[in-house]
Amino acid sequence: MTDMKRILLLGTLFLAIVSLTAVAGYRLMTSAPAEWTTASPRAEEAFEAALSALKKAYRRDAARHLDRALELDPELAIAKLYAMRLADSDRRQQLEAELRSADLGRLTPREALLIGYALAHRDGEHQRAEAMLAEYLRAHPDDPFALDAACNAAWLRVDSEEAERCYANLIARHSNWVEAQNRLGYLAMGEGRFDEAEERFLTYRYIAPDQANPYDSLGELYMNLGRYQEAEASFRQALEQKPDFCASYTHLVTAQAFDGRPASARASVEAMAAVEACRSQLEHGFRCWAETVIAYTDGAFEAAWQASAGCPDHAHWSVLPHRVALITGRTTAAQTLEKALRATIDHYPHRAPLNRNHLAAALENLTGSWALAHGDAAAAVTHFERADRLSSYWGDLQLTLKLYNRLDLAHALEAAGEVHEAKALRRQIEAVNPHLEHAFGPGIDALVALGAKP
Amino acid sequence: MIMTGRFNPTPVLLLFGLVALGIAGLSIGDMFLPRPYDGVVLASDADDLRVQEVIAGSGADRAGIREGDIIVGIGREAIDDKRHAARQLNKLRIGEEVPYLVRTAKGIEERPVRLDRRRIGDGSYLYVCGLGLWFFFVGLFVLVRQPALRASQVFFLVCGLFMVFLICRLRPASYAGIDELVLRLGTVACLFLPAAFLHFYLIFPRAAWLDSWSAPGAGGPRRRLAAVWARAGLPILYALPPAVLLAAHAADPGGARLAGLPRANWWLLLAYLVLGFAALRANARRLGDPRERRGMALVLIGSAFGLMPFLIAFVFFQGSPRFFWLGVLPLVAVPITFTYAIVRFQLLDIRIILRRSLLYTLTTVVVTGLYAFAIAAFNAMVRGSSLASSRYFPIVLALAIVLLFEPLRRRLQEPIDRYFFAGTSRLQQATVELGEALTAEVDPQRVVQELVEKLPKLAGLHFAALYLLRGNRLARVAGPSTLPAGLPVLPELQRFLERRRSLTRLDQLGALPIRSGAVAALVRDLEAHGVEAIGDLASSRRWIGLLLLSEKQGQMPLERDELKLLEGLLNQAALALETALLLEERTQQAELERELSIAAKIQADLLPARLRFAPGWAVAQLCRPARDVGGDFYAQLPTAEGDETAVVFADVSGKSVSGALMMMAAHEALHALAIAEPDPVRLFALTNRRLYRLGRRRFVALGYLAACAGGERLRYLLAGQPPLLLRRVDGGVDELPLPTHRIPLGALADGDHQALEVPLAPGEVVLGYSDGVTEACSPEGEFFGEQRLCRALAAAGGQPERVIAAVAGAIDVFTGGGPPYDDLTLIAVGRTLSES
Repeated sequence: MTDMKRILLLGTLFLAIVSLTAVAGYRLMTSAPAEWTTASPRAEEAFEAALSALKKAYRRDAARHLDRALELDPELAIAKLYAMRLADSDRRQQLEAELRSADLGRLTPREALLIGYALAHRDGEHQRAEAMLAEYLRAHPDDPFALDAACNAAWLRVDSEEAERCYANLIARHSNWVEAQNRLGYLAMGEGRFDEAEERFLTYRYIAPDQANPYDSLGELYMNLGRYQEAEASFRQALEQKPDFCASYTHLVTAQAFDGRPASARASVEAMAAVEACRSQLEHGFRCWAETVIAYTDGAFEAAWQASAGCPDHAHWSVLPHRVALITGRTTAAQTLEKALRATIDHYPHRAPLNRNHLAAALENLTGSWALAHGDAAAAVTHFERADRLSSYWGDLQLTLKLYNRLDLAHALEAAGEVHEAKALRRQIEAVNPHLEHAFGPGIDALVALGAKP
Repeated sequence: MIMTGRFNPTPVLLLFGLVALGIAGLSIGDMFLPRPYDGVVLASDADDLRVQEVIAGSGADRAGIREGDIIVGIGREAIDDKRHAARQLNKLRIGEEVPYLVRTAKGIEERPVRLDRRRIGDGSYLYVCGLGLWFFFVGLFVLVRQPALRASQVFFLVCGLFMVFLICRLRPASYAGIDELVLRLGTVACLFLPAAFLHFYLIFPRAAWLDSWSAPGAGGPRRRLAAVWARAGLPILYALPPAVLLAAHAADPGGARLAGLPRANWWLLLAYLVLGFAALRANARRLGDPRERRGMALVLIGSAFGLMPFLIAFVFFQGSPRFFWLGVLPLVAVPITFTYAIVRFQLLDIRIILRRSLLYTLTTVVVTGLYAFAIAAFNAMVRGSSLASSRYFPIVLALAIVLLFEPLRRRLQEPIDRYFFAGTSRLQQATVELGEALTAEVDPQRVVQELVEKLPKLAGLHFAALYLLRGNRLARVAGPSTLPAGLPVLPELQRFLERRRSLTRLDQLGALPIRSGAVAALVRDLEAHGVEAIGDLASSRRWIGLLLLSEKQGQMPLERDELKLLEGLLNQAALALETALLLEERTQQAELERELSIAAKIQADLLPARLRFAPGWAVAQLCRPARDVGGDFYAQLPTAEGDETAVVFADVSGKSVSGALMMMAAHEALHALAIAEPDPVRLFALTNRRLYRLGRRRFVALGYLAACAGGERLRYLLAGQPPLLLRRVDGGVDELPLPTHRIPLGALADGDHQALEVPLAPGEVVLGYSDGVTEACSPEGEFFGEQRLCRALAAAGGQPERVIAAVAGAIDVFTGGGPPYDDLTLIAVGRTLSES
């Protein structure tokens, strides 16, 4: 055998061995272990459906799937954890008790972590919980559930920078983890990076076009930007995907109200009322709040007050009732609302600074409004500026508090004689939402006029 | 520069080549796999999925995706890298409409893209692949032809790296899973390519500049530089690009990359290339052979016009169509010039024999392709017309093809033959002419001269030498005097060469079982004298000698086709030599025959037409030489004892010329001595002594017959002759008594021959004869013998003439008239009847 033949033979053999080894290694590395501990494939299927529903923010569907999964396998611990998050108080306690008695040793590391992490938080051992999570992530840096938990923790403690970094990491590893796309969109929107937010929400919508939430999130952004028609279209698309997606009804009503179309807004309220699943939310405060906003943006301040008077004691929604109370001369009522909000903040858990900050911003706005209504424009500016620092472009207040507050600030600056600053601020506001003045300007003007009275 | 060290890198290089070819094959093969493809060519150096090009008419083109867009989602999945995109595309089906998410200048948008069957990027990539493979196979050919030459090893490395770079790095990057692998490998090839290029240019075809700089007469700085190069040049050369890469990466980890490399590496590549051109020029200036210099100039021009535009266009226009036209297209100059330089100027001592059959096949393929193209074009032109629907159209078309195919092929073939086989044709023509000259030549010396003087010029050899068989040695009859004057005849070598009937290279003899110690010694001796091939000269009749051929000028081995041509010439030379030698021999024989004829005449003149004998006696004689000249004779002695009359008849040992000469000597001795010595006994003794002195073991059988006038007794002496036969009157035949001493004359120093007498009655005849009579052969090979002689004698009459006639007649009848085997002499003596 010549040298050439020998080399060719050895070369071919070598390549064959390397190829076989590579294929075998690849198969070994890519063979996935079982993710959830259950002997029932149907229970696992139901649980996966629940996770899918949760990703879509379909909580009721998720709850239904979880109940089904637990019915099929009462020992499916991870389903109990998720069910506990969605359940009412009694059921939650029962499930918690069951989880505490569960043998975590037989579960997968991920299940053990998620359950242990949740229980530690419920026990108030937050540091231990975060330590558990960090340790798990060192061993499993690619686990999307653990990464999501870590990102969510950053989100809740309003560590925007860490939350963005964390979600970006999660997307880099699991690009279709839609919740991360959604959160990153909100983070960008909260920071005023609206183009980026739009790209995130569009990506979210692209990934999950069959879900309601991407359309809803995108609609919120458009609403913030004053693109009310697009917002309405997006909310309607959300409702097409999921007719009982109640959040989109609330956003649709708000957008129509902000756009100065009270009749449409009211029609949407009625449409929401026709949906069985949304009726509870409607009757537990939203109808009242919707009527308040519709009347307020329509310039009917007395009607707004009348509408808000029937609202349940909901501190989150105190900004507009407080404003109309001041405008209509009901200062005591306004003081009561402010007091109630302050009490809410005092009792609000420090672990949830996101909402706490929003409440604090709302309180500063209330205080600034009071000062403005009483002719102290300088104090109003101070309070509005504090509120601006505490608020973001997105929050839990059903209106864009930051923009609303900034408009207040611009008017206060004008009242305080700081015309240039006021103009500059107005330009900034208009750059974001050119229609805000139209919806909320009359209310602020009334407040300023009230303060200008001797 | 020939490899002399122990490590031979050729197997490693071949393994490298195998792997490189595998990688290139992977890259090309991947292009043809049936996969869903959107028609997007991605920018290979971008981290994201930036569109570099959109194939016209593809799904992406129809969807409005344009150059510069970034693909961020495919099939409802956010895509973060090319591998992810490839995985996602592989889940989809050909023909499926897939939503794409694309970031355009206007923002992020969703576009529906219908996936087509994956197609190779475009013609430019095919062109690049062709170039790469061409490079590789030129390098492989060079390595296989000159595996021990360092320049050919480095050239193969260059070709392999260049192929990987071209095919893997200039690949239209899509989403394929192997994109990343082959692109990275292309980058690695690009990293080491400049070093390999410079290395090659430094030693191509020999490191003449290094020899010059290392010479004692060179300047100090040059010698120092040469010493540094010899010590650490190569490691520095190859280590510098990775070092530059690491330094650039450390300085700016996220810096811009071109083909995966920082710009610093491209500057280094440019510097290496410029240095390489300088080295190429420096080497070319120091080469003595103008043919090599022309070849190197061609390589330099090809490299400069091929590589420099590529380099510049790659840096400035990579990613744009101008890159192909300005950079890639001129690159073809490099393989063309290298290939042409190797074929035309025999660089790296490579000589290519193009096979006609291969070129015929290629020509046929080209013509077929042309016809296919023409048919396709014609069909396209007439499509839809009435001509296309005619049933006669295909028949006419087929007829046209049949009629035009061969003429066109021949027209193409002629210039190809003229161009590629001009050298071979010239050699063939010259071989034919030499063959004709040889066969027309009848002078062996001229044949040898033609062969040994013209052959080296014809085949570009240093010398040729001819050894002809002379006895048991081979003698040099032509060729350089530095070669041995004679060579031993080695039967095993002779048999081997006779069996092969072809020219044999000496190195082939080394591997044969016939190689005995003597052959090995001979081969060593011949190799030491610069002999490369050996061939035997033999005709069907005999072995003539050996032809030795030196190696070719330029240290190139004799190619197989050249050997074939020379073998034909060798056979012609053998025939010519054989003819010339035969003619020479024939001439010599004719001369000899003429001489023999003269000698025969002289000899015949020596024999008396008639013998005389004593009165009352009658004598008759016959002498037939076996050849032109014979060894038998009879003579009348000048004197005899008393009044006796004496005749002798003799038979000399040996035949032809030697026998004739001996006969002359014996005849003259007898005559001379007989004058002084009439006594037959003493005459025999003296003649014996005289002949004995001649030596050479030549004998003369002699018979002596004498009688007195009117006597009744016949005296006789016999020395080596057969016994005399006596025919009595009644027809009876007796053998006469033999003397006790009858040794032929000249056999012993002293002879003691005795004379005997026998009374004869009238009518009785004594017959003397030489042994040629009894040993006359019939056509069946039977001897005439004594009995037949006696019977013939008995049947004859009582007179000597009749006895001679009868016996001669009987012999003629017996032998059938054929030429006698031996000289034949009869002499008959008898008393005349009248007296009785």
